[in-house]
Amino acid sequence: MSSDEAKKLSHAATADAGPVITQKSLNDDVLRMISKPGRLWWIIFIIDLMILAVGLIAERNQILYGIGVAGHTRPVMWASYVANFVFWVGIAHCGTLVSAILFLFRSHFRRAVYRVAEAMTVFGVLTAGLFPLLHTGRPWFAYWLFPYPNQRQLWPNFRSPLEWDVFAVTTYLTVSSIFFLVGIIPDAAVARDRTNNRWLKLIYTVFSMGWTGSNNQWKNFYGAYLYFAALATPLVLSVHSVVSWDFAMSQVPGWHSTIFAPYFVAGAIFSGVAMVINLLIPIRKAFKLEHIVTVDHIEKLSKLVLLTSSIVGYSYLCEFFSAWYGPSKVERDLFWWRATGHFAWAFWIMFTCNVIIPLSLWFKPVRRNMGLLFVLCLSFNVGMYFERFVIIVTSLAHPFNPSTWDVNYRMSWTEGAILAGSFAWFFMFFLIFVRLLPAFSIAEIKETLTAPMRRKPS
Amino acid sequence: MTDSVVFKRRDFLKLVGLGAVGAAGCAPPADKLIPYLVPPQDILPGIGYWYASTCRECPVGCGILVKSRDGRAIKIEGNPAHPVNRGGLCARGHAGLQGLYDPDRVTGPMMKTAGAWKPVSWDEALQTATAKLTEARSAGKSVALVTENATGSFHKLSAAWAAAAGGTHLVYEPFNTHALREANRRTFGVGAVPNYDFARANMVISFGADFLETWGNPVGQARGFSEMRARPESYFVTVEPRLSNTGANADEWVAAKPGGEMALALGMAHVILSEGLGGGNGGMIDAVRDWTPEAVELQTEVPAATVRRLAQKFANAKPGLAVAGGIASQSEHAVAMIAAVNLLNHVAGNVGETVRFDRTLDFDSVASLGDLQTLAGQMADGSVGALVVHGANPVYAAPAWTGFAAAMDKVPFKISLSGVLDETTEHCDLILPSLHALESLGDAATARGVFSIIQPTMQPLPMFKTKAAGDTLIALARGAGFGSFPSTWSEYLKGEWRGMHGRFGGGKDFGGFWDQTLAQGGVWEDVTGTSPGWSGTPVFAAPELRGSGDLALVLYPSPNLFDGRGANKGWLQEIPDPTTKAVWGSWAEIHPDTAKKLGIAMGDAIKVETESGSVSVPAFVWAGVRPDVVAVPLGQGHTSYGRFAKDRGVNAVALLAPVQDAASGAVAYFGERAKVSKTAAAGELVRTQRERSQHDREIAAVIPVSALLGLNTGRGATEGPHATGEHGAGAPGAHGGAAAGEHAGGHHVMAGSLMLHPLQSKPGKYTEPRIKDPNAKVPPHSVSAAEQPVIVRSPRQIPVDRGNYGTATHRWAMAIDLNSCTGCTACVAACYAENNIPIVGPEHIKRGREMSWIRIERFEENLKPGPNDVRFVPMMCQHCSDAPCETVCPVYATYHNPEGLNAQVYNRCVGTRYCSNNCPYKVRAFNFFDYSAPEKPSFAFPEPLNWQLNPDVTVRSKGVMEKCTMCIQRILEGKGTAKDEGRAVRDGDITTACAQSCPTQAIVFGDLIDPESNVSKLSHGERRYWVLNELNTKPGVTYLKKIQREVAST
Repeated sequence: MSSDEAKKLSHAATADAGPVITQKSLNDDVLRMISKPGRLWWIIFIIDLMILAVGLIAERNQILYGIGVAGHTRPVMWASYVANFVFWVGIAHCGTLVSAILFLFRSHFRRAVYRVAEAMTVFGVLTAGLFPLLHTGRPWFAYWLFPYPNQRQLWPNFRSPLEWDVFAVTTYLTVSSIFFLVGIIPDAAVARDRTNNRWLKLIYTVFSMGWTGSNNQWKNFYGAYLYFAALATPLVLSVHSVVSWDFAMSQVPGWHSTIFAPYFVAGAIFSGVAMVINLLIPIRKAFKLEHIVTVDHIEKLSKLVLLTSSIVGYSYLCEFFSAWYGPSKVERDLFWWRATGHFAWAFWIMFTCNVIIPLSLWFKPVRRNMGLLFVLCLSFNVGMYFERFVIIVTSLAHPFNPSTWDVNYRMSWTEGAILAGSFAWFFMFFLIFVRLLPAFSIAEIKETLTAPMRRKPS
Repeated sequence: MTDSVVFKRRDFLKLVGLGAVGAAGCAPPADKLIPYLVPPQDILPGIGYWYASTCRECPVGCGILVKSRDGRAIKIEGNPAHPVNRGGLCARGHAGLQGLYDPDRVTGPMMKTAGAWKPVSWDEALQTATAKLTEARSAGKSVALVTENATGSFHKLSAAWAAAAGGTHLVYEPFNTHALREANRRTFGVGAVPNYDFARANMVISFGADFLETWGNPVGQARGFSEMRARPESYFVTVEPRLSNTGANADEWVAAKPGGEMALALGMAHVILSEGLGGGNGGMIDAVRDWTPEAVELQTEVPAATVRRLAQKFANAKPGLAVAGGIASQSEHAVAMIAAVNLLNHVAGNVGETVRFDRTLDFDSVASLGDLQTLAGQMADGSVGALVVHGANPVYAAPAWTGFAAAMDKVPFKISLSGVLDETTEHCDLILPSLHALESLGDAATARGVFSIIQPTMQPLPMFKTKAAGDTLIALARGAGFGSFPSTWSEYLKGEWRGMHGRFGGGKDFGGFWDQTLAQGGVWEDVTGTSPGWSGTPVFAAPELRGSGDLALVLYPSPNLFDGRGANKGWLQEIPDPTTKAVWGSWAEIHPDTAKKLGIAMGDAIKVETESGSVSVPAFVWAGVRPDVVAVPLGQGHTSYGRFAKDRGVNAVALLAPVQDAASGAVAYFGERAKVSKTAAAGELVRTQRERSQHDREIAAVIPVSALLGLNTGRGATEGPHATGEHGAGAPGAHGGAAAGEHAGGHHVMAGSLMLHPLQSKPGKYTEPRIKDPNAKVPPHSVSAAEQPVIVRSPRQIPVDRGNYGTATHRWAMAIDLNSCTGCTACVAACYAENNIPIVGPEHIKRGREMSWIRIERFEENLKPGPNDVRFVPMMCQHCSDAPCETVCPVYATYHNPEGLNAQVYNRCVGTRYCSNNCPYKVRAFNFFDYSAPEKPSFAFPEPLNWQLNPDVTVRSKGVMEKCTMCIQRILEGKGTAKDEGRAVRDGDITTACAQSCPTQAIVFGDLIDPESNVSKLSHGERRYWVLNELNTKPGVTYLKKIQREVAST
């Protein structure tokens, strides 16, 4: 890394752009976030809970009356719930990518953003994990998917991709939670030492796990962090690959494709990074942390978005190419119909948002314009939601047997409420997180600070 | 293997204690048990008993067997011994059960006071009724009795009753055969509905007769038709302006101009006579002199060359068969048109061959429209003092201009014996509800030489206080003091049958004869018909279309609802119409060109207007109607008649102008022009199948006659080791080996090439056919007729013969002959009845949530007049040996059972619906709501419909997937019976509900391991194929390709 780049990425170098960050001011700035919540926070939080309540009412109806209150039809037996699941798993991808893979690659710009990304991961998985449960016809029996010992000697079907999902998602949740909790230990200790509130102190004591900052602890901490980063890295690839196999392992035209695993992973990173940008921009604004999460950091992230968007775009074209080139007429029919048929509007929203709009990120002014970037990233996530919708709904609506073709799927209000509820559920955790735990890694950002009275950063 | 589960004594005791606690805690005490302390004679709880009876859902009277379980009738099947239907049964017949358990049946006698129905006691009701009858009679007024075409003893009783009461007995049937009988009387001197022998005919030409749907004896005719279609050289031409479901089965569709049928028949007769191809005399050629093929072309738009070709083919068929019926025979010149067809049959020499007057259908006493109008006139002028109605519904079915409904209001007192609140009953003052046919004793003599018995298959339902209609009539007569009748209906009936005893008793005493008659469902004798000569040529005239408008109006009876009497049955509303696949409503069919001109798209609300009235319905746009025709089905649009029928669709009878056939007096259902325009609102068009083309995917396959015949000779030439290898091998699993061996040997070219599908992947390194060891034992569950050639997807593929299923000895499978399937949907109704399938209503069908386990897919390859190619595929779970649904279920709720069935364990199902997504046939139905919980709004079996539920089949709860089980309950019953009798299961012991019901026996069920079984032979026959075989699912259902005849281009 050239020294220029190093300068850009270090917080010290941005001193002229904002106030000088010192060890003290960093502690103050980050821990200021977890002070007593203000009125705005409460308003947002209460609105959030109200949306969540609507979602819960919808879910209650669904359990009481049956899954029919959602818009599922024959042949479209999966629709928005599975799309939500894939969407949230995708969102959950960015955290581990930023914290683990970029950590292993020593991309230091991650230091300012990884805690938010990791929190997003954990909460994203928590949200995603709801959907396999609530999309089933009998969610009260969903535990049958777990291989628990039982008197009837019944065992789940390990050949089913849904069964793989169970393991992939639970593994990912476990590892990403541990990774999140490990990384937060030194920061929780800072918060613990500063707070006067008994209850908060108790919470931070738990989170800091008896951290004293001894050399031995630092040694173990870094060791553990590296170890978990190495463990989490393959999961980034595996989880979404497994999720993609829910589709690719079936023989439904439009699903049965070998490109699905890399295609889904790229899409997941694309949407996840866009979501991180969407979260960071308001946070740095609201908490006045522009000097900690700098425009340079955000720009780095948006380059990642650009990269993954081009992989996603390549995958789209590749799918069409193989449908055209391949021997299967059924596949060819489906892809033609996808782009021109009843759901073509969804396809073109997807294509525009995920392939065409991201091309604007080639331009530096766009990447550095926070307001514009925020809007663009929103559109990327809309596009990625539509990608799942298009993959699931159009493929199912146009299967092998033409007599069963139908375009009768309409999203019901129940599904809409549950989708909104899932966002509320995610933001509920996130809102609590920014007020309760250090949202930026004090310990790691300090590594980039110039040591007191020194000229160069470490 | 040693027993791994060894209980220690202590563990055992612990578990026993736990079990006892669990049992006490879990099971709520049953509210009611069946108190069989004193068991009813001959009834064992849990065992189904079959009672022979007669179907009364239409005037034909098919023989039925009714299954009664624990005192409840739960299933109707055709009686294989009965001469009318020979074992098949149509959808309407199956739905008779829903009439019996109709939740809107009248629960007891009711009197209308101040416009509202009030329940009264039977004593009070009968007293009132007799007082009113006496009053009417003493005032010198007549008493009219209107019934349906009951035939048999009830008809005699009704006639005698009406005569004694001093009034008329009117037998009302909306689709009477008056014109047909009149034409036969004039041309043959025999005024009867002939027995058409479709089986013998080599060429059938139908002039509008929907003989597979509602016209004549549809089930019996369908059977004969399928026998004809099994012969590759047979040929079927349909002449009609709208392609009916019967017409859809034709090889050729001649879309003559509406009303041109007569001219075409005469033109064909002209060709036969002038070319000397058949019989006939000089007088006849004079009669048809004007109808040269060229003249016919002008009148019908059928090219002269086609007329000639058809005539020549028809004359050479020997015998052929021309039938006239349906809407074409219901115009103002109906008699002339039928006479023309009679002439055609006569000159081609078919009379006495395929048109026989032996087992004629009894429509002899059915009143004409003139009789109805006479009665309406009498009622209107006040000379009728009381009216008694039973079964018939003229207020709904007769056009308003007959004045019947209005005249009813002039009758001082009207009594209905119908058990349902239909439109006619709503016009009455008193209801004396009678038993449903399935609860009552009676008889029917619907065809000559057939005396069919109606016997109660169960105790009358306790919630309905009903009486046999015969008893009510007798009670009324005795109360009012007219006539002399035995004290009860059953005595009257037995009195009638004492006469029959002499004829059929065969030396038995009456008791023995009666029991035997009940057991077999009646008595029948062979009858010979007179072979009538040609007695007179009537004046031929073609109907002129009346009124203004561009389109000819074609009204046709709905195959499911018939004349409207099926509309209160949920099954019949929910089972899609065979042609449009629409449910729960009415529609109007128009041609795409017409629709384009008028700016109408599929499903748009349109108004069909004649000078007599108008209806607003959704449009169904398809090329199966001529561009100058609009077709509307009859049977919907009830203003009363129960929750399923009321306010659904439109009653197109309102469009009829006051026109009758001059010669016979029949209502002219055809003969009007109509205007069609877009309108604001009409009902919604709800369809179960939207895409009507198969996009070259070979779902429904055909084999050209030439290829089939070539195949046959080819096989004949190579007959020898291979043929015996395929069919003669006795050991289970020999098929796979033999078939693979054959393939490897390079023979069986045709069958091999059938496997190479355009959609199939190109062969690669690992996809070369693998030669199986001929001695390898294939376990039953993996036996499939689709065994060859085995494609090895991976070199490490686990052989299918691993596992612990080795002890099974059956592989249940089906063979479905698409050449026989007429698309009639009888199998669908049978499945609803057998498997407790709920109805869900139009709102959910719109979302594809119908629960039916079997559907008839309809693919229209060619809808232009000329060569006709419409294909039907009965589609149900294919019970694949390599089932895509099984691998994706995370909890093994769907799995493969040892006998090859793809089983669904409802209890284990979590409802991920992945199986449905991965099923290429999309035959799985999901319980989106709780259709079985009485407290839920989605409950599908309101009391007493739940009485019909088959106790052998689970009623599924919400959130679980379900699908065809190949009637596993019937398999178990058959196996149990065989075991009780200490023998092996024989081919034919077990059959599924759909296969049993099929009027054409297109579905065959059986054991694929038994090489001698019918299903094995069919599944290895030359016409076999598998739907979506390129997916390598190895289905247990083998289809036989439809035979495609060559149609000349002129």
